Amino acid sequence: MKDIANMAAFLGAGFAVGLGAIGSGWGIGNAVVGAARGMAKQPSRNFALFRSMLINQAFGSNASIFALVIGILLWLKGGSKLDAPDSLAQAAAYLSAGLSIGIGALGSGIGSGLVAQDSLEAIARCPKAESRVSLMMFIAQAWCQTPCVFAFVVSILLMYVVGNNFNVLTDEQNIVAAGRALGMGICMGAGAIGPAIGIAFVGAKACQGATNSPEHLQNIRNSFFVGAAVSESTTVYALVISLLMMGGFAD
Amino acid sequence: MKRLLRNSSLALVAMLTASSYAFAEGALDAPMPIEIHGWFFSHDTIVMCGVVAFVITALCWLGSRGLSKEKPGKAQVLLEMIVTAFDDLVKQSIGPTRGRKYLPYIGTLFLFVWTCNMIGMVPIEHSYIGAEPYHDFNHNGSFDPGEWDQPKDDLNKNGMHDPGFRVPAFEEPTANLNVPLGLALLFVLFIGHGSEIRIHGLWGYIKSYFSPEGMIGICMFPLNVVGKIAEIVSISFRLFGNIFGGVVIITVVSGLLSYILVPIGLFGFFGVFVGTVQAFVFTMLALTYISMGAAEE
Repeated sequence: MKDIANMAAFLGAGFAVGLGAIGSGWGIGNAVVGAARGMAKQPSRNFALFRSMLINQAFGSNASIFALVIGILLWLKGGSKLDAPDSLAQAAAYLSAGLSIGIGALGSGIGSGLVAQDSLEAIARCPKAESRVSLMMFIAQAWCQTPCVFAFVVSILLMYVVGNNFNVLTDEQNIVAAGRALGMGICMGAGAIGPAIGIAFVGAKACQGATNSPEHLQNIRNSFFVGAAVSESTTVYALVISLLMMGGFAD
Repeated sequence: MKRLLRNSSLALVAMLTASSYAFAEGALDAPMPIEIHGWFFSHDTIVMCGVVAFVITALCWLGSRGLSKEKPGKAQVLLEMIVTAFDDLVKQSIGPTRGRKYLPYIGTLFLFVWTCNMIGMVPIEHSYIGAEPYHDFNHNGSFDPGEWDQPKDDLNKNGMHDPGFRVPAFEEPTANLNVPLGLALLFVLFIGHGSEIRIHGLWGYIKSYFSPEGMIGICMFPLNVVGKIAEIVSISFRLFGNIFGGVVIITVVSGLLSYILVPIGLFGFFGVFVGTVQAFVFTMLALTYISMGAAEE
């Protein structure tokens, strides 16, 4: 098997950008849905809604930008001359780097769309509450990108730490290391989908709550923080397990 | 007026072309490291951080001269807008009296990160100060390896001519992971946890790791510890990933276009828009993490 690692790098690039575009596309479209509904309700707030929509779309594309970066880096790897082009484990690391960020971007994109829709409708419903809702929206958007950031970290580690240690492996070690690398990527990628959507649900409802009952703002914010932190914990488990699996590569 | 517009648009195109060259040559190279007791420091990043700090200090000093209540100048109005915006934010999240103490940190953090994200668009290529002249015996404009003996000041020990002090190309310091990580450690760990210890006492700080009270809290202890570490990882990698991503994408697209056309739209999106949004997000998250421990009841 010649050049299997180059093949896997190209394959990983395809997975990263292809899968990574799904969620972001949905999320960016949903921001426009929210803005359009809001403009229909409050035509006088046209400009504020448009500005807010652009910011929401920037957050929505955040996940796919990460996927695009990993895709480009993998594409450069695939086209270049590698140290161990016929190592199965290195091939698995590159494929897994693409899968990790590709699957991991799915949830963050969808979640960002949920927050965008609810916060834009909330701004339209109660223009006085704009500053409160925008603050909550910023935190919710940034927070639901966290799982995707973890997936990005794991992808970078897979490409540059795990992917460089396979020159001296025997065949048996090669198979085990390949499974380990693939496991790392799939664990982090799949573990990032659900928590991102969960955090986004919490954030979206907190944005609505901040408009509907401003007198309970402190309570809403506290339960938002606690709820989002607890639903984030599952993605932290995925990160911990991925890093533990990486620990085997050190020796 | 037309001439002004034409000249300025020409200057803009020239600047953007030059900056795409800067990206093409230097962006993805590993910067020259400095070794101190086994720790490696990136020379370029340190110098650029210094430049950013100098720019902010100089602009604020120039803007805050000759303040007046009756006739505020343009710079004064702009600076007052920035200060008021962050004053409101800090008061809203921490509290009216205690929040004021955190205003200088939070405002400076935003200005620093924002200027760091913007400075990559300044089209200055790297250069050398105090370079030793080449031993160019056959006058072909380049160094002759055969006719040159080892110099005394070969600090890098790479057998090559030492170029002197390297003035780096203007690149985003935030595209180096160490800068966001350092800022995250400073703001989340030192200021955030530090003020929590100062306000609630050491015992109160330790109790926050067992956060829901009772038996569940003891089971939650490992989760809380991992959560606090995850805060620092997520805040720093978010900034790094976005800025580094912009650098990589602009470099690759400029390469695809053979450095003839300049991706102005990409500079606008990744340089200005994403840079501003991410600087604000970094500031807001740092403020949120601080306010978790330091908010007034």
